[in-house]
Formats: sequence, C-alpha cells, structure tokens
Amino acid sequence: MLYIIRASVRTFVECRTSKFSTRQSLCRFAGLGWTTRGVSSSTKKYKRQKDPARQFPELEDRSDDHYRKIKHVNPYQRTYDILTSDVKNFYKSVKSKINRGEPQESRGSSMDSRNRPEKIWPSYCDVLVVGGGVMGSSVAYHLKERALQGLNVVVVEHDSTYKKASTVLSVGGIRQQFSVPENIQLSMYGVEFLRKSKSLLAVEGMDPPDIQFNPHGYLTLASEAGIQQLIENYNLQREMGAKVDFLSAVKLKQRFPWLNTDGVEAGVIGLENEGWFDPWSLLFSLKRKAVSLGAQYVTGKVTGLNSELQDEMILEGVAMSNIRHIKSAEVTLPNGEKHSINFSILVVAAGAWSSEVGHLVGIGDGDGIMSFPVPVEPRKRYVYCVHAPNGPGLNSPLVIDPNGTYFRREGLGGLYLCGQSPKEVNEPSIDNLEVDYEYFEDEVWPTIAHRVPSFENLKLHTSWAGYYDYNTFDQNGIVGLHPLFSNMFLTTGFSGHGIQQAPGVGRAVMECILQGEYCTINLERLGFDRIIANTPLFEKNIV
Amino acid sequence: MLKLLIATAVLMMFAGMWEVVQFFLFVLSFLFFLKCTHDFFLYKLGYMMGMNYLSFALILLSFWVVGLSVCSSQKVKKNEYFSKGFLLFNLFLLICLLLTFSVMNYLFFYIKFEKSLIPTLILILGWGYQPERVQAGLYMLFYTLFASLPLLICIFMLYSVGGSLTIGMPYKIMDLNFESMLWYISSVFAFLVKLPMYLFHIWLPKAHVEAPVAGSMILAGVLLKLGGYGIIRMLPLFSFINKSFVWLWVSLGIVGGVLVSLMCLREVDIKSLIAYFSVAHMGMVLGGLMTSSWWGMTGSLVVMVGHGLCSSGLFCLANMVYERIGTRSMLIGKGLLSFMPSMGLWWFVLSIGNMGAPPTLNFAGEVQILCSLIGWSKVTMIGLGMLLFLSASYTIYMYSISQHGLFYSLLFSCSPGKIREFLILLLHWLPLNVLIVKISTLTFMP
Repeated sequence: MLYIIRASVRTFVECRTSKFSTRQSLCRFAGLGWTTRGVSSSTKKYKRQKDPARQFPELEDRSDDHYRKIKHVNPYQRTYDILTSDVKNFYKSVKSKINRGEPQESRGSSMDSRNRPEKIWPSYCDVLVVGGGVMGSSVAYHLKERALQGLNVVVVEHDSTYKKASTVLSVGGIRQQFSVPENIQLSMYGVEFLRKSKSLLAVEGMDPPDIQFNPHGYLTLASEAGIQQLIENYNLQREMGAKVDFLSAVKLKQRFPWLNTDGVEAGVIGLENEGWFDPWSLLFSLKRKAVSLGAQYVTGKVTGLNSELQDEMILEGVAMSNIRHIKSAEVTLPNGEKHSINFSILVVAAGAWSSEVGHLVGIGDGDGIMSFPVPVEPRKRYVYCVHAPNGPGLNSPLVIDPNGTYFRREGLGGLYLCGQSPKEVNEPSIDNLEVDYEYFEDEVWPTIAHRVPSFENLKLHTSWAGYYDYNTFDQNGIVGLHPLFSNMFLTTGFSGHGIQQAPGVGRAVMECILQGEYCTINLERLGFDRIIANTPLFEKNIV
Repeated sequence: MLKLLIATAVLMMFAGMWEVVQFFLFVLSFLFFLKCTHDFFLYKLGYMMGMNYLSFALILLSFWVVGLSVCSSQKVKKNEYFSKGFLLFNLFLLICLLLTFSVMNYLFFYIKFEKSLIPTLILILGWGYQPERVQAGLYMLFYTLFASLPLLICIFMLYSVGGSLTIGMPYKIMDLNFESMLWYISSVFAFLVKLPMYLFHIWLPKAHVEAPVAGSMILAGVLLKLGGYGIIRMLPLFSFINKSFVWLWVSLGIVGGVLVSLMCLREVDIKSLIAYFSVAHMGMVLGGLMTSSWWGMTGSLVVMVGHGLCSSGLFCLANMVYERIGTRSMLIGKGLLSFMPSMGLWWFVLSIGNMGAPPTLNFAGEVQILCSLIGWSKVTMIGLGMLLFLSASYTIYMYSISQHGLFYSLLFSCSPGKIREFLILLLHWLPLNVLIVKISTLTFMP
C-alpha cells in the first residue's frame, strides 16, 4: 500500500517538475510498457574510435561466415526466431542426410550454403582468445586438449589468411641460449612439444603435421667485450639443463672452417634441442587440432569490451575494490556486422596489436595502475633470403654475430636467411610491410660477408618483412592476469622469440585457468606487475 | 480456491513493479499455507476445482518456488531486460500450475498441463543464454507435446466409456486385453516423459543448461512434479492393468537412475549435473509411485517436494556463481570456498539434503520409497543400494569440485554474497530441514 502511495507521489512530482513528460510518467505509473533500456552505471564501455588509416584488410565474402540472424533484443521475437530456425535447420539437416545418397548432380547443389544448417554465433563462451596466431592457437589447443567438451573456447582472428601476423613471417628459430631462466625453460618445453607434435597434433583422417624441425643449433659468437656475459649465460644455461657447449676461437675454427673468427673470442653452440622449424606448419597444426577438439575460430575484429566493476568484492586491506570484470566483447565481422560474445575469461594474444586491445578496456587511459598501457608495439623487421653457391654446408647452425646479425641455412639448395635488428634510431616505419633493400646493402651484407668469406658473392633471392610484437619495456613476454581485471590474461610482447615460447606459454595459461597456479614452469616473474613496479627483466645480450 | 486464483491474476496487473510482485508472492504462499486443514478427501470444492492433500503440497511448492525464482532473477530487473513481460510470464505460469493441481476434471487438467508448457518455453527461449546451441526449445516442446497427444485420445475414450471426466468418477478399467493396455500406456506416457523417466529424459539437461535461473528453478522445482501428480491421478483408473507393468516402470526407474547417476560423475557443466541427478531422483519417485503401496505414494510425494526445494536451491547457487564468474563449467568455477566462503554453507547444506542425509525431507521420503520397493521385491535392493551410493558419490563430487581447490586470481579477495541471496537460500533450506518434524503436513498420515 505504502509503495503505491509512494509511487503515485513520485509520479506526481515528476509530472510537475516535467522531468519526463506527463504521458511517460503516467505510463510508468500504470506499469505499461515504458522501460528504459539503459544499463546500470557501474558498467563502463570503452569503444575504440574508428581510425580511417587502420581499416582491416578486405576479405572475400566467405559463405561459411554466414551466421544465423537471431535478434536478441525482444524475448518474444527471439523465441519465435529460435523456434522457427531450429525447425528449419532440423529440416535442412534431415534433407541433406537424405540427399547424400543421391547421384552426383544433385549432391553438388545440396551441399551449398542454402541447404546446409546455418552456423550459430557463439554469443556465450567460456574462454575468448583475441588473436588466432601461434600464441592464441596454442592457448586454445592446450585448453581444449585438457578440458575437451568441458570448456567452450572461441578464438577471434581478424585475418584468416594471416597476411600480417608475426607468426607466419617469422624465421622460426628455437634456442635455449637465453639469460632469463624462464625463457630457457619455455624453449626447452617448446622443443619437447615440437618433437612430439606428430602425435600430439595429429587429427584423425588427415595427414600428420610436419613441423620440419632442423636441429642444427644456434651459434652465439662473442667478441672480447662480451665474453664475460657469454660465460655467465653459458653457465646458467648448463645449470638449467640446456645442452650447449662452449667453444673457444680455435675450436670454432676447427669445427666450422668456413667461419672467419676475426674479432671473435668464443662461441656457444646448441648441441641438441636448438634449430629452426616451419612456423606456418606449427600454426596450422595447432589450429587444426584445436578446431578438431571443438574450439571455434571466428573471423572478426574485437572492437569493444564491456567491463563491470565488482564492487562487492572485499580486497585485503581495501574497503572498496576497484577490480573490474570484463563481461563481453563486441566483434565486428568482415561484412560489417557487429555481434557480441559473453565470456568468462579473456586471453589477449593479439601480438603486435595487443596495446589496442588493452585500450579497449582503458588500460593506459586512466590514472594509477590504469595509466600503464600494455607496452607492446609493432616493430618492422626484415628477413632476406640470399643465394650463395659456396656457402656453409649442412652442419651450419644459426649463427649470431656479435653485432646482432644472424643467418641460417634454408633448405638444401644453397639458400640462406639473414637479417639484423636495426638500432633504436633506425627503426623503420610500421605503415607497411615493404622491404628496405638499402638496409641489406649497408648493414647486413657487410657483416655476414665479413663473418663468412664465401658470402662475398651472394645474390639476394627474395625478402620479406614482418612485425615483432615488441615489448618496449624489457623485450620479454608479458604473461598473466592484469592486476585490475579479474579475468584478463595477457600473452604478448615476446619481441621476436614468441614462436618458440608459444607451446610453453599456452600450457602455462592453461594451467592457470584450469589448475589455479603455474604447475610446470613458473612464469610469475613475467607478469604485468613488473611493468607497474618498474623492474624490467632484461635479456643480457652478447656483444 | 478461487480467492487465490483471483489474487494471483490481480497480481499480474502489478507486473510493472518488481518489489510488489516479489513481496506478495510470499504473502500468498503464507495465506495458502493457512489452508492446511486436511479435512476430508477433497475439500474447498467449487467451480470444477478442489483440493486434496496432494494438491495442497504441490500448490504450496509452486507458490514458494515461483516466489523464490522471482527473487533470484534480480539481473532481469537490473538490466531492465523486459522485466514486466518476465514477471507476467512467471505469474501466468503460476496460475497454470495452480489450476493444474486443483482442477477436478481430467480434460481440464490436460489443458492446463499443456498450457504450462508455453510460458516455460517463452521463459527459456526468450531470457535464456543461448538455447539455439543445443536446440533446447525444440527438444522440450516436441518431447512433451508428442508424448501427451495420445493422452488426449485416452481422455476422450474415458469420457465415452466412463461417462464422466471428473477425477474419481469413472470406473476402473478391469479388462486385460490389448486395447486396455494400450490405453493405459498412452495415458501414463505423457507423465513419464514429463517426470522424466530414463529413456525419455534427454530434453531435461538440454532445457536446463540454457535456461535462465527462474526457468531452471521452476522447471526443476515444480514442472517435473506435474508428471508425478498426473500419474497419481491416472493410476487409480488403471490399477488393475498397472499390476502387470510395475516391473517395467520400477526397472526403468531404478536402472535408469543408476545409469544417469554414473553420467553425473562425468559432468563438467554444473547445471547439466543438477539436471541429471533430477532424473535419478525422479526415477526413484517413479518406482515408488508405480508400486501402488501407501508408503510408496506418500514417499514419492515427500521426495518430490524435497527434490523441488533442493534442486531449485542448487540451481540458485549455480546461478550465483554464473553471475560472478561468467561460466557454468566446473573447470573454471571451482575453488569457491576461497571465492565465496559464506556460500559454502549453503552448498554443503543443500548438497547433503540432496543425497538424503537426515533430517531432510529427502531422507524421509527415500526411506518410505525404499520400504515400499523392497516390500514389492527384494531384488530391488541391489539397484536401490547402488542408486543411494551413487547419489552420495555424485553429490560429494559436485561439492568437492566446486568448493575445494584453487581459484586463480592475483587478488586476495572474496565475495561476501548479497543478503537477498542468503534469504533465498534460507527459504529453500528451511522447509527442507524443518518440515520433517511435522511430516504429516505433506503425507496424509493420521
């Protein structure tokens, strides 16, 4: 009774102060369909402004990206739509099963998109992975392999041809010669995974994956200035169990007669578990296996993330928590449609573009902890493929010169891949993936020609450029939850050694999600906290 | 009876004000509880409606569960996702259930039985999560619809042979020919699918998994009992033929219950797990009902009420986890003792209620069903023993996986739970554990 009186008084007051029009107030009072469709104030939505220079690539309209159009606004409409499309799809699936037995000409027409049951847009899932490169696919694979049907995993990838993805443009090397113990452990697991990939990633009824792992090792050379660091790193690597060997200049010359040890004091060679492989094959096998286990890959770009403040959480020592829980993502499909996906856990594996995804929830736009953006940006790196008829033979490892230039054998026809990370001041622009041939002429060729005399008469065969997901803070990966979001995992910033750490990081994220802690490799030191606390974890490079 | 019906119908006019509806549903259930007189066999007669001790228990359960489900659907109100329509459908469903349990006419009962399907379907498909993923609507609609069409034919035959459709009036069918057996099977088939019995149970997990919390609570709490109620109403007509078929229903109930309990142990989705153990409990209810013994009948009623409260409470808890974590999977939603320690009490109390620990209604009912089934045949001891053991094991599995273990978070934090949630769970638990001291309110035991 009191409520009714209160409601009438409120309506009367609203009418008088004309906050709403009289008709609206009366409608609200009588309880007739005037509902405000707003959401509560604690839900914040950040939307990225459309940047005209950064349109995502034109893709051909693929008929299997056609999702069922069910309007999710009105429950009555939704009920009707779901029932009718369920019945239609049931009829279609029955018809397609019947038509399968019919002769060839009708079979062709019955399998086109008109008659196939429509795909359902995954509006609710358990884990959403942003980015379908090797990191995202590794997370999806490990999660699905452990959870099977227990988790619904969706991977959103904006370019299903992977034209600009760092994964496929990578040189594909794997080494244990790091100075950060976590990196060594991750690479060791990476090799184990590659060795077992034929059985782990095999899908029934299809060819087994062929990662083409060439275990020829890495050779890190050090000049006099860097010999001390090399010895320290070597000792750490031996302690961690890496199979590396220390070679003095004399031994180097004995083992690799084609090497010019001028200016080189010593080198460390990987005897086992180091080498290079085909990154495209790894990505494809991971993706294929994840899809066969039930993960769903969606072609689209994440353009919005909705988060909600968890104001009822009691934090240790803090009265009002400011932890946010990300609830849903808005995905824009190539044909312009926008759909939303609700999820429980978000894994950001967007590589060089992870910072943008961070900005979608305000990481980098606020104050306090939110003022630290995800410190990852794309950096262009060139890879040159050269032909040298008298070059080093089959046993040549991936040689890293003291000034950072590297080269490795590619195939058996006298081709070699080489490159060099440019200095900070010479960073090329990231607008496009065009190759700078002058850089090859001025920086790369002289170095490798000096190091290996038989490279004097090489010819540039082909070249390409790719992006590093470059961590501007300390050039090592960022793995783990963001402190202010209860369900956002970051797996990015690997700055050139992501491809070898992908299986290890995928497994680590899976352990966090499913088992609550890092079980095999402890990656706590690689968390986002080090960026806020300003304690970088640098790789001690050899000069 | 009419006063309650009109009161609920008038409450539909206030569907625009959530708090009014929420409050008055509890007021109505209290008012209804005052009618616990157990006069004669049928009382409060009028306008083709009447009340029996059986109807009383189930109508009370419907009021209670619908009230609690409206209370727990606060998200619908907060997000203003057509909250008025939501309340309207809930109240419409309540009216259908009220009528179903109180009409004294077989045809009228059938109409209400089918009518209750429509608001349930709209609730599940309209406000559910992603029902098209498992074709929840299709399965639920067509399973129950097609199973109940033969029932309509049987009711017409009953009218033409018996001369009246009032419950209790037509004569018992005393022949044992093929025609009467077919008649019997078609009549009870609809209720068996609704119950659900083991071979026709697949619609239940699909409907539950994608339903919103109110839909799940009402579905598990009351709608499954429609099946049991229908069997109790139909059985007196066919009790002669029933004697030849008891072995079939008891076997399906017990063996089916055991198989479904084994499936529970493999479930990862918590709502699916709760749906599957509903099937197991209802299998036991079916066994108790079909033996036509007094203890079997009252035992199944007690288990129905107890299961309604328990299941509904567990769905409520599962929804609280879902609202905070965003997933129904127990692989992610685990370690909840660290995340929501206070809810651990309710998880525990409702879980042990579920496995039939004393002093809950489930325990009393299960003991009665046990007595009646073992009295019917000692061989059922094997099946019943396995059923009770497995029910304890999957309950412990559910509790342990969801509560114990690690919850990954960088934060040392916990969620205290809202007062409203505690109230809802208390109101689920109180009748479950307290009614056992005066169990004659539910069983007609003078």
